[in-house]
Amino acid sequence: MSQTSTMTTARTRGLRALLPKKSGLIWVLIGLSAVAALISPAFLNPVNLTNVLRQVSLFGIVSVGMTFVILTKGIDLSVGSILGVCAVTAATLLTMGWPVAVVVVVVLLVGVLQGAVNGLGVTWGGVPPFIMTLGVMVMGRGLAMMIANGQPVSIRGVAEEFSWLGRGDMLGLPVPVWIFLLVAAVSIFVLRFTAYGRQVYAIGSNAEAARLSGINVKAVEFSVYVISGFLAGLTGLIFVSRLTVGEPTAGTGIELEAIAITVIGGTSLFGGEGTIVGTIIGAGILAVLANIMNLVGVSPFTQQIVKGAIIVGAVLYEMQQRKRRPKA
Amino acid sequence: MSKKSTLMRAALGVAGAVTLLALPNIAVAKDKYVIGFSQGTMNHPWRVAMVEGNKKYAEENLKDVELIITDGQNSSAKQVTDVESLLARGIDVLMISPLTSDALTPVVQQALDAGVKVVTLDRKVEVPVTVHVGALNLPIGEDAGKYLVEALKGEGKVIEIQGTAGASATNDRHDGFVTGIEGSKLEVVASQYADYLRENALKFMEDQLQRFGPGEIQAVYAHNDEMALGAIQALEAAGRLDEVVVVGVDGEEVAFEAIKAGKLAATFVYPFVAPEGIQIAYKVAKGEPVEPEVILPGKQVDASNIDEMLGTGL
Repeated sequence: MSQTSTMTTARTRGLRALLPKKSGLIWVLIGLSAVAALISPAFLNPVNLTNVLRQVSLFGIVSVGMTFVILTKGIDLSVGSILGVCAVTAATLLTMGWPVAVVVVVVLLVGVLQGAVNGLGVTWGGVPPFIMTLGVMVMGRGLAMMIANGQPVSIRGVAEEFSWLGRGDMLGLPVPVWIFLLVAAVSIFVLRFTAYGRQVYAIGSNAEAARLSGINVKAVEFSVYVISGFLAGLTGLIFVSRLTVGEPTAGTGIELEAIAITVIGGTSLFGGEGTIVGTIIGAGILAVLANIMNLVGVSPFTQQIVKGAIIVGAVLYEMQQRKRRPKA
Repeated sequence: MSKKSTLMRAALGVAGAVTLLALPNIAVAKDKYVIGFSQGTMNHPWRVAMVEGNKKYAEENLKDVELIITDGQNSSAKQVTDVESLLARGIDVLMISPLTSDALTPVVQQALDAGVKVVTLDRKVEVPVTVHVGALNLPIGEDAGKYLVEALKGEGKVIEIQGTAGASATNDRHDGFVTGIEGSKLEVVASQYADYLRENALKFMEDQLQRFGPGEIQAVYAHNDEMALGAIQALEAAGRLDEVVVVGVDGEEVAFEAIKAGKLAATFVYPFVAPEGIQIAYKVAKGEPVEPEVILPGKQVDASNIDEMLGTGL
C-alpha cells in the first residue's frame, strides 16, 4: 500500500504536521548519535551531551531566523555581522556602567534595526536579498570594528550578573538551551498555526500569487529580516556573556553555518518549503558530527572536508527527492 | 526505493565514514596520559610548525601520551567549544595557545577548577595557569624599536603593522616597541591590525604607499615576518623598497632569505614552542615540578649574522 503523500499543508493539525516532510532526517541524527556513542565513551558523558546541546542552541537560534528568511526565498548573509555589532555594543555599554536589563533591550533593538535595514533594502529598494544582506554584512563588520576600536571589549569583572545568560544553568541545562527551546517553540507555533506563518510559506512558494490573493508581501518579507536580525542580536548577547568579551570579529562565518543547518534540515533554498523542526535536527546533525570528530581526534583539516561533504550530500539528497515528487 | 530506506542508507553511510575515520584512534590503552592541545588557528606557518613540532616529538618520543589536537579556525568561540569538548572527553593536561586572552579565560578557569593542569603556549590568558611557555614579546618589541632608532639615526616616520587584536603577543610587541623608540624622534604615523597575515599587510601597505608619497615613510615595523614580507611586496611593486627599512619578527626561513637578499633589514627569532610545549606538558602530566613560567630565548637576526642563521629558520 503506497504511503499517503506526506505533503502537509500548513492547515494540517496534529503532531504529524510537526515533522518535516523527510522525517527520515531524524534517523540520520539518531544513527549518527548511536555511532558516536559506540566509538567514544565520552560522547554520552552528561557534560559532553550538555556541550552538544549548547552548540545546537547557539547555532540554532541564528538558524531559526535564517529559516524564516529562506522560507520566503530570501537569504541573510549579514547575521554574522549583526551578531558582531551587537556583541561589541553590548560589551561597550556594559563597561560604561549601563544596567544589564537596559543593555539587553537596547542591543536587541540594534539587531532589529539592522534587520530592518535589510528588510527595507529588499522590499522598498527591490535589491536582491543576496546583495542587500552582503552589503549589510560588510558594513556591519566595519561598524563593529569602529565601535570597538578594532580591539575586543572585555567585560571581565563588569556586570557579573550578565554572566548568567551565557554561562548560567537552569534545571540542569545551560541557559542558552532554554532560550533556544523558547525561540524554537514560538517559531514552530507561528509558522504552523498562524495566518502570518501561512503567508511566509505562501510568499516563498509563489510571491506573485500571494500578492494577488491579498497578502502584503512587502510587509511579511520585511518582517522576516527583522526576525533574523533580532535573533542574531540575541545570539550576540549570549556570545558576550559566554566569552566575557565583545569581539568585533564575533560571529564571522556563522551565516554559512546557519544556511548549512537550515538547508540540511530540509528547507528549500527556492522558498516555500521547510520546517523549524527540520532546522533543529540539522543543527543537531552538524553539532554531533563536529563533536564526535573532536572527541575521537580526527585531524582538523579532515573535519572541514567531512563537514563540507555532508552539506553537499544533504542538499543532493534533497534535490533527488524533489525530482521524484510531483510538484503540487 | 522508499524515502525512508534511502535515508537509512545515507545515515549508515555517514556513520560508516565517521567510523572509518575514527578507527585509528579507537584502540587506545587506558593508562596513557591524555593531553589535549587546543590551537587557536592553523592559518599561519608559525602555528602549523607549533602543532607539527609538538605532534612529531610526541609520536617519536612519548609513547605513553595520547595527544588530541583541535583547531579553533581563527574563532575564539570555536576554540572555547574545542576546549569544552576536550574537557568532556577527559584530559590530564590542557595545552593551549589561546587566540585572544579574554575570550578563553573562562574556559581555562573551568579546566583549572576541574583539576586539569593547563599549559599556555606563546599567548597567555588573564588568569595564572600551571605553566606558561613562550618567548618574551616585550623585549622583542623593545629591541625592534632600538634597532630602528639606530637604523634611522634617531628620526623618521614608521608604519606599524600589528598582529591579531587582543592577543597578548600583539599587545607586548606594540608596547615594547613604544618603549624602544621613546626619547627618539621616531614617529608611528600609521598602524593597523593585520592579523599576522601576509595578504592583509600587503593590502594595508599598498594603501599607505598611496597615502604617504615617496620619502615620507622611512621604516616599517611588522609584528611578524609574514606581514613584513607582505609590506616588502607592496614596496617592491611601488619601487620604494630601498628608501624604507623593514623589520619583522619570528625568524622564518623565507625571512632569512629576504635578509640575505637585502630586502628585509632584520627579524627577531621567536621560537614556536615546539617541542618544548609537549615536553613541559608531559612533565606536568607526570606530576614533576616545573617553573610556572618558562621563557624561551629569542635572537636578533640581521645582515651581520645572517650567514650563520641561513637554513635554521622556521
